[in-house]
Amino acid sequence: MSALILISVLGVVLLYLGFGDNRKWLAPVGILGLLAALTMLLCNWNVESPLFAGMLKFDGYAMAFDMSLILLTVLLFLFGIDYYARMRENVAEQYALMLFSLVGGLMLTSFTNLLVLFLGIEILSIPLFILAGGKRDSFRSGEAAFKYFLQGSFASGFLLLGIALIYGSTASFDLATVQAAVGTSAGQGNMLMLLGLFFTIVGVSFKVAAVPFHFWNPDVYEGAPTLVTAFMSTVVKTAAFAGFYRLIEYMHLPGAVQTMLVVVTVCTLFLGNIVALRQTQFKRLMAYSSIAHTGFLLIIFLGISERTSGVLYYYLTTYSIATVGLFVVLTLAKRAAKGDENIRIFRGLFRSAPWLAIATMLLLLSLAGIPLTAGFVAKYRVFALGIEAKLRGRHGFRGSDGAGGHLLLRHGDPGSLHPQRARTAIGGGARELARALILRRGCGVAGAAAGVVEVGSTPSPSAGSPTDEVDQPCFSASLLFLYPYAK
Amino acid sequence: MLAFFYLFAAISVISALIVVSARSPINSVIALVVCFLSIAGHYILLNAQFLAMVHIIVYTGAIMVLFLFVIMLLNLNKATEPMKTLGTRVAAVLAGGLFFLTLMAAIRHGINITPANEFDPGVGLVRSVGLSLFKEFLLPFEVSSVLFLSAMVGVVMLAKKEKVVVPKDGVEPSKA
Repeated sequence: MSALILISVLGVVLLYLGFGDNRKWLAPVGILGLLAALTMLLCNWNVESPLFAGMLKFDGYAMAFDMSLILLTVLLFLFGIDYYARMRENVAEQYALMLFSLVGGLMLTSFTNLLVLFLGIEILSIPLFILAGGKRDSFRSGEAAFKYFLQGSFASGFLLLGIALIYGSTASFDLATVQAAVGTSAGQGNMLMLLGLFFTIVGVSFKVAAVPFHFWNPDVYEGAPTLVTAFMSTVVKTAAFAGFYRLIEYMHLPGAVQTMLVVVTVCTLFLGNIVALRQTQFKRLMAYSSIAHTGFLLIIFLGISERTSGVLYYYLTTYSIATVGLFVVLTLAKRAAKGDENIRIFRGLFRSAPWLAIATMLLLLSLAGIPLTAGFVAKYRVFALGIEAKLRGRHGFRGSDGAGGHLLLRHGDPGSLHPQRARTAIGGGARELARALILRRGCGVAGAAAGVVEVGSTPSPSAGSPTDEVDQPCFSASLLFLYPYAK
Repeated sequence: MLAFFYLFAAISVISALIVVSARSPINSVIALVVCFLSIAGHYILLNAQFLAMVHIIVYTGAIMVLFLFVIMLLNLNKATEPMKTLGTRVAAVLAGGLFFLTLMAAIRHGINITPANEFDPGVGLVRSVGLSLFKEFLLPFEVSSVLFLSAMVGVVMLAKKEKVVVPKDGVEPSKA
């Protein structure tokens, strides 16, 4: 709780810092404050008492996700030092809004009351509507803000209607009470409850970008400033999934709602992977990648066991680290290519910046789930859980995984492997890029990539049954601090 | 009492239908005001005086007047029909019809509305609203300040005057 308060106050402090010409102090103060909040969070480890008459509970699950969210925000702030260096106006506001959004994220990971779920989602989203429109001279950015706002309003409408109907049938906002009421036979047959659950899940699905509700997400990703896109696809995604899982973890969902989840999962997997094949803009590609990953994560929602939350955490963390790395690479490449965001700007990257190219390749491999990367292990564990839950039609799921592989083959930086193409590529700009990289961000990207590989290579692939495999606490020193939730 | 309930229910449903079907935005807003007033009537029937007053002052008074101001300032007060392609219309009718069918199928078996608690006539009084707001729901009440603060920051950030307002990339937005 103290972390939550500290981060809110930190946002206000940054707003005040923005009055003078203190731009170079913003990110350091923000990062220091976030680290202090992290320390406060860790001081309350294992203090699992419900707070404020059962509104919040910072249990192990919430702690783990909160740490991940705070560290991701720190990474993005580090990225922001360089990114906002040439911006003159509203820099303090951008940092502060990201912190406010993070507050919503922390509430989503720890809520025990449906009202707090709603408030968390609102606090997470409203700063993002503004951040998406942060580039005021860009038409695209305004479009992104508007579309995200409309989509968010729909989501809030559905969510609120759902919560109201659930309240109508149980007379309680308390998560445990609602979960118990859904489990009873009267709850299973109650139409009001069924509609309530349906609308609530639709509302949350908007936030994780599951397929029928993903509609404007690629436009938003494309239009928003790159740093904000990175924030949306990592912090917001993680928080939304943490909240979603917390909502339905102990809920014995009625058959109709289960069916709906299966349909949403299958649609998300297929559409996310297949439509991604035709994208040429990097941010749109990342948007569809994010949708496809939502599909994979929804698989584990279909058969929840006590290991599910650990797998969810592992998957989201590896995904987020790889995504942040790729957005840093995009910013550098975009700068060298004078604002172009087409994926052709990555051609010849190996020639101009070999280490960056290798790091990029690793991050992409991890996102696609190729063995020896963390992404593979994450996907493997997801499928192991799915098989354990005896999901029918798992071959379908496998098939769409193949589509993910194609995505990499087609778009995964082919130019870096061909010397001929490399010669025709960016040239002078790339050299400047390489210099900037080695000086500034190279280490960071390489570090992230190394982490991804290291985590991926730890588990022994030759172990017996899938269940044994999942039981292994598979993490390595580099990610130890991000993975305390392994049971 | 029951007669009043049906009266208010009829007014709210009819005015809500006018809100979505009226061509002119001004008529929509006026119908929305009527809808809000009838909902305030429901609150009074339930003995929730505080909620009824807040509803009239905040929603009907402040927010709706703001809506009217925005409409007048943006000069939207003409009856307009937004351009919609045939495909959009067909899709909208299909989706709306399917949703309607689903809801109908859901309530065909009858929605069983049994009150989970006995009705307590004192629940909507100022005193009990205040007590639950500052005891049970203290956290949501306080935390919503972060929400409003970020909304205010956003308004200032987006509405502040800048020197250049010319779009750099005059590119048409791509279709989703």
